[in-house]
Amino acid sequence: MFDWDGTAVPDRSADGARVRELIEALCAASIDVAVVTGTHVGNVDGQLQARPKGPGRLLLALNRGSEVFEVTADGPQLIDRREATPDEDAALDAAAQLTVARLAARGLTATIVSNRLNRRKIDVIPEPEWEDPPKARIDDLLDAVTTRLLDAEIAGLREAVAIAEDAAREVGLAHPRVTSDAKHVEIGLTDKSDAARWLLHDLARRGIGPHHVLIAGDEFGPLGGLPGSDSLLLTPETAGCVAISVGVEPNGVPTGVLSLGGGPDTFLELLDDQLARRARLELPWIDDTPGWAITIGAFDPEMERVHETLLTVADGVLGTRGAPMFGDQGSLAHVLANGVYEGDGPTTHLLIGPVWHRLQCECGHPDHLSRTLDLRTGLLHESCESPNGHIRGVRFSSLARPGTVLLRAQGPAIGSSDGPLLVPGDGGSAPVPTVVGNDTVHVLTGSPGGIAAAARQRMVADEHGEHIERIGVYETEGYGVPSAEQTVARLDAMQEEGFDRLLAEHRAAWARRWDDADVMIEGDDDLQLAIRFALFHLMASVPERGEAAIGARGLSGPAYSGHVFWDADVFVLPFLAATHPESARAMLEYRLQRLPAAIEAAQEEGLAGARFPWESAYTGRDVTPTSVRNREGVLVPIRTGRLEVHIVADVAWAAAYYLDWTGDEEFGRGDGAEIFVQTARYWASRIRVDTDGFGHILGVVGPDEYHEPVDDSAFTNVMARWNLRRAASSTGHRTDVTDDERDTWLHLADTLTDGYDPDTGIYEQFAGFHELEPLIIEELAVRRPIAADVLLGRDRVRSAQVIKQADVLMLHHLVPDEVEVDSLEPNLRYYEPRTAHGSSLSPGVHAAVLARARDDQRALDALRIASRIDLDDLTDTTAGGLHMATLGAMWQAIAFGFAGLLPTPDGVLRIDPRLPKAWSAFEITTRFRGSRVKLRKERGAATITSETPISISAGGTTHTVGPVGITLIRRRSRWEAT
Amino acid sequence: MIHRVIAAIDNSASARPVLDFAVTAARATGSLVDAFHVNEDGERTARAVAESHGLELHRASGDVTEVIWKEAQHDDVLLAVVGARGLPTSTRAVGHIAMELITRLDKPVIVVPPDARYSQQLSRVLIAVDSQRPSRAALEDLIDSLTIEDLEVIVVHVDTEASIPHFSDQVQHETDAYAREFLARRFQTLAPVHLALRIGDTAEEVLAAGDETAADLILVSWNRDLGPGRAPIVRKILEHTHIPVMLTSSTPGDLTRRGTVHATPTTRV
Repeated sequence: MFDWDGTAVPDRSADGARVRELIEALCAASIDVAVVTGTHVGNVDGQLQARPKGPGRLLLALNRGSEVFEVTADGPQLIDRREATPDEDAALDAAAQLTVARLAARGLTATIVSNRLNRRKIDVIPEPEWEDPPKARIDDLLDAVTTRLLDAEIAGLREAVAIAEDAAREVGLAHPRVTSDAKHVEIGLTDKSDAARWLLHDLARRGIGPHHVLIAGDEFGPLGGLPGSDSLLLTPETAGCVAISVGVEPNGVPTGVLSLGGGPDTFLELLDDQLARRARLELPWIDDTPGWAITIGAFDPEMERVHETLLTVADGVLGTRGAPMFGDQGSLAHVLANGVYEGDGPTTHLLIGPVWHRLQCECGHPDHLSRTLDLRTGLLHESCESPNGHIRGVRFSSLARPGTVLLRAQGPAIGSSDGPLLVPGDGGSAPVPTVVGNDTVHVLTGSPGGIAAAARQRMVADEHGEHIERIGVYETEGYGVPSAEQTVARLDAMQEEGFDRLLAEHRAAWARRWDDADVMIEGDDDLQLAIRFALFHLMASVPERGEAAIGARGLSGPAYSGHVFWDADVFVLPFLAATHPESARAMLEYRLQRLPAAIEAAQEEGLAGARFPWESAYTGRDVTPTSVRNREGVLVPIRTGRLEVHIVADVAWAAAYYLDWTGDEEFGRGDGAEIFVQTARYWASRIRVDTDGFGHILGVVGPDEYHEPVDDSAFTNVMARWNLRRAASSTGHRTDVTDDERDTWLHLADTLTDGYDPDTGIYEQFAGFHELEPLIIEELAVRRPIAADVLLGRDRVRSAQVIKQADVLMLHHLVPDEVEVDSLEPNLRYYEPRTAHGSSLSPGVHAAVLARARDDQRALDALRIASRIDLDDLTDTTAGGLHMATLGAMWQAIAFGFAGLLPTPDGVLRIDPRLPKAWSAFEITTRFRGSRVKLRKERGAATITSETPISISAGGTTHTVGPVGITLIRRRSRWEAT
Repeated sequence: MIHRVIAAIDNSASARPVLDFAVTAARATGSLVDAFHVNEDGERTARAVAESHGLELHRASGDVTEVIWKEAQHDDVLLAVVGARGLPTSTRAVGHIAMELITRLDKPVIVVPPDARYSQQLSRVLIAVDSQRPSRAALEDLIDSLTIEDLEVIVVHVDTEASIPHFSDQVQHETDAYAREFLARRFQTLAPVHLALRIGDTAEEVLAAGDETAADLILVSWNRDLGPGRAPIVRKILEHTHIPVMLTSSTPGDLTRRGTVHATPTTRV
C-alpha cells in the first residue's frame, strides 16, 4: 500500500513504465498492490497504465479515501465510492467559502481551486511561482507559505487548518477531514485514513493481516506543524504493518516508521526486493497476534505427542499432525485421511498415510525448537538451531484445495541431502511405490479405501542460504485405491498454480470461514484463544464435499480409531450447520450412505426402519468392540454397541438441526425426509405399549454409561418422542408414508413414558433411578470432573445415583421445546451434583445449560474446564487426538448457552443472549438461512445484524433484521427493540 | 568395561537367596559377581554359599553398610544385592543393613527376601510407576543393561484417589489410548512393555501385581528419603514381598531421547 506522487513517481508527469512493470510482476506473484492518493483515476491510471493479469490485485484508493478502483487486464473498474449527500455537498461548499472569507478577513488571499469528489481544495499560495511545485521543493514551499500566512498574522499552516476545521463544523459537517499539503488546505468527508481502513478490511477478508502489509509513503513526518499526509495511513487497523518513508522528512517520522529516504528510486528497490524474496522461496510470515496463535516454545519429549495433536494442520480431507519437520524425536507423525480405513469390525482404524513434511536435517538442541500455529490462516511455523545454523519452515494443508500440502523451509544445508520427500508415518505401513513418469507415487491400500501421494521439491541456494519448497498431493478414496496417474496429474496442476497462488487461495479460504464463524470474547483472553483453537480445528476437520466421517478425534490422531460416534452428529455438526452448511451436509451424507446398512441392522433385530450403529466406520455396521480390559485389567463386556440406541434419534436430530439452520428445502423433501422416516419407523417398531397404554423402550444405555442396561431412559424416550413427532410433521409429502403411519407415530410419541414428575419437575433418568443409593458425587469426590467408575468401581456406580455426564440435561440442551417448561432448573439442581463429569463431553454441555439457567458463573467454570481438556491434556490422552465433541460443545456453550441461539423449523432464529459478569462483551457470527448474522452482546444491550433480512425472535416477539440491524435491551425479563 | 554386581551376604539363611539372585542378576547384565562378608557371627555358611557358586568370599571388617558403600563407589559396580532380613520369620520386617544401604547408595540396590521366588532366567520385570515425573533415564538404563532376550517389562501404575483421572470416555478405546501415551512418555526402551493399571493402596497393588504376573524382579524408583512420601510404600513392599525388589534413585535425570519408541502398549492383568 503506497502513496503515489513523491513515493512511486517523482511527480505526475514522470514516466511510470518501471513502476508499472514492477506492479504487474508483483500481481503475477500473487501480491496485492494498492495505491493511495488524493487525485483521481484519470491522473493515476493515465500515468501508471498497468494492466495486471492477477492473481494479485491492483487497487487504486483515490480521491482521498472516497473511491476504490480495481485495475484488471481491462482497465480500472470502480468497486466502491463514498457518495456525498446533497446536504454534505452544500456544506462542503459553504465550508470552503467561509474559510476563504475568514482568511481574507485576515489579509490572506486564498482561492477555491477545485471541487473534487467529497472535498474542496483551497489554495493558500495562489502565486505563479508556486503553481505546481515538485515534491523536492517541499521545504521551500513550506517556507513561502509560512511567510505568507505570518504576513496575514496567521500563525502558520496549523492555524489555517484550524480556521477551516471551525468553518466546517459551523456549517454542519460533523466529522470533517481537514488536511494540508503545504500549498492547499483541503476540507473533505474522507481522507487517506478511510482508504487505509478500507484496504485493511478488504485484505483481512482474504486472510491477509497487517503483518503481511508494507506501507510506503514520503510524507509521514509533520509538515508545517501538521501531521504528514501519509501519516493518515497509520490507523489502528494498520498496527502491525511495516511502514517505510522514502521522503525527505525534514522533521523526522513518527515512531515505528522506517525512514529510508531516496524517493521513488528507493521505493522501486523495495518492490524489486519483494520480487526477489519470492523468487528465492522466502518463507511467508505468520500472524502471531495474541488470541490467534498457539505456540509451543521448546521440545518436551514427554508432552511432544500432545503438542503434535494441538498443532495439527488439516483441510477437511487430510490431517497432518504437528510433528517437527526436523528430526523425529519421540514424535507420532501421522497423516490421516477422512473416511479412509483399514481393518475389519472393531479393529477398523484410520489408514496412516505417508508423511510429507520431514526434512533430512537435525534440530540441534530441543530447547531451540519452536512451533507456532497461526489459527487465522492455518499456517504452522517451525524454527530450530541445527548444527549448521538457524533453520525455519512454514507448512500448510490447503483449505482451498483439500489434499494439497505445501511447505517452505530455509537454512544452511537444508536441501543438500537426498532423503525421500515422503516417508511412512510412525506405525504406518510402508507404501507401495508406483512410478509415473519422473514421479514416484506412494500408494497405500486400506480396506476398502486407499491413499496415493506424491510430492516434488525445488531448491534455491544463494547468499541468503538454502531455500526449499515442497508441494505434495494426496488422493484419497473411501472405497477403492486412488489412481497414481491422477495423483501425478493433480501434482502437475498444483505445481503449475505455484506456492504463492495456492497460499493466497488458502489464506482467503480461511478468511471466509472465520468471517462466517468467529466468536469474540472481550474480557477473557485465555478463553478467547481457547475458543478460536476449538473453532479452527472444527473447521479444519470436516470436508465440504462428498461424505464426512468425523471420528471422535477427527484427523488429529489415531485414538478411537476414527470411529464415528454421536460426537459427530450432536456435538460437531451443529457448529458446521450454523457456519458452513456444506460441511454439515457432508456429515449427513456420511449417514445417508450408510442408511442401507442401518436398515439391515434393524431387520436383523426384527425391527423396522434404520438402526444406526453406536460406532461406525466405513461399512455403516456397528464396529463397537464387545469387550475390553479396563484400567484394572478386568475383562468387561461393552454393551454400548448393542444397547446405546439413542444414536438413532441423534442422527435424526442432526438432520433437523441442519434443516432448521439452513432451510435446505431440497434436503428436507428428499434425503432429510428419508432419515426422518427410517428413524421414526425404528422407534415405532421398538416401543412396547403396555396394557395401560404407556409406551416403553426397554434395555438401553443412555448417555450416562455408568448404568446399563436401563429401561425407559428419559433421554432415549424423549428423543424418540421428538423423532416421531418431527417425522410426522416433516413427511406429509411422502407418498410412501400414509396418514395412518404418521398417526401411529404421533400416538406412540404421546404414549412414551418420559419419567417426568409434575410435582417435583424432575425427569427420572431411567425407571428406578430414584431408588438407587443416593450418593452425591459432588460431596464425596476430591474433585470433579472425576472418572467415578474408576474411583468407586463399576458395580458401585451402577447401584448408585452417580452419573457420568449430562443425560436428562442433554434433553434441555438438544430439544428444549420437547421438555416441560421451567423444568431446567429443578433438573439442574437435582442432577448436576450427582454428575461426576467423567466424560469429556459433559463440561461443555453443562456450560450451555447452566448459562440457560442464568447461572453464569458456574457456566463459565464449566466452559473453562472444557476449554482446557485438550490444551492442558486433562484426559492424558490428547496425544491420541483432539476431543472433537468437546470442541463442538464449547461452541454450543456460547451459541446456545450464552447467546441463546435456537433456529426453529419455521425459519425463525430465536435469541436470548446473556453476558457473564467476567466479560465486557461477546460477539458470535453464524449463517442462518444463507445470511451472515452477527450478534453482539454488551452490558445491557444486544445488537443483531444480518446480511439479508431474516426473522428473529427475542422474548417471544418477532423482528425482521437486515443489514442495518436492531438493538435489543432487556427490561423486566423482556427484550425490547430500541 | 566389565561390570560387577556386589552381594552382601551374612552368615544366615538369607545368604543363599541373596547370592543366588546376585548371580542371576549378573548373568542378566553380563557382569561379574563379588560376594562380600563382614564377620559378625561366623562365616561358614557365607563361605559355603560362595563356594557353591565357585566364588571367592571377600572378607571385610567393620560396618557392613560402610564396606558395601565403599565398594560400590567403584565405577565398574553396577548394583548391590542385599538380604531383606535373616529369616522369613524375623521380627524386624526389613533389616537395618538393607534400609541403610537403600538410603545411602546412589546405585541400584536389590533387596532379596529370604523366601524369594523368581525364575532363573530373569525374564519378566515389574516396574512400579506412580504419577510423579519418573526418572526415565535411570529406569531405561537398567532395562537396557538387562541384556536378556525376550525380556518382558510390565509397568504397574497405581492410582490413588488424588491421581484418578478426570475423564474416562469410552472404555473400549480410552484405556488403550491412555496406556499408549503413558508408556510413550516414560519408556523408549526396545523391550516389549505392558501396562497394568491399579487403584488402591500402592504397596499392596504393586505386590499383588508382582504375584499375579509372576514377576522375577520388581523395580521401584524412589528418592532415598525415609520421610513421608514414597518411603512408607517402599518399606511396605520390602516387608511383604516374595520377589526381589530393585530400588533406584529417582533424581529427575536426563530425559534425552534414547531412540525411537518400540514399546508395545497393551494393558493386561
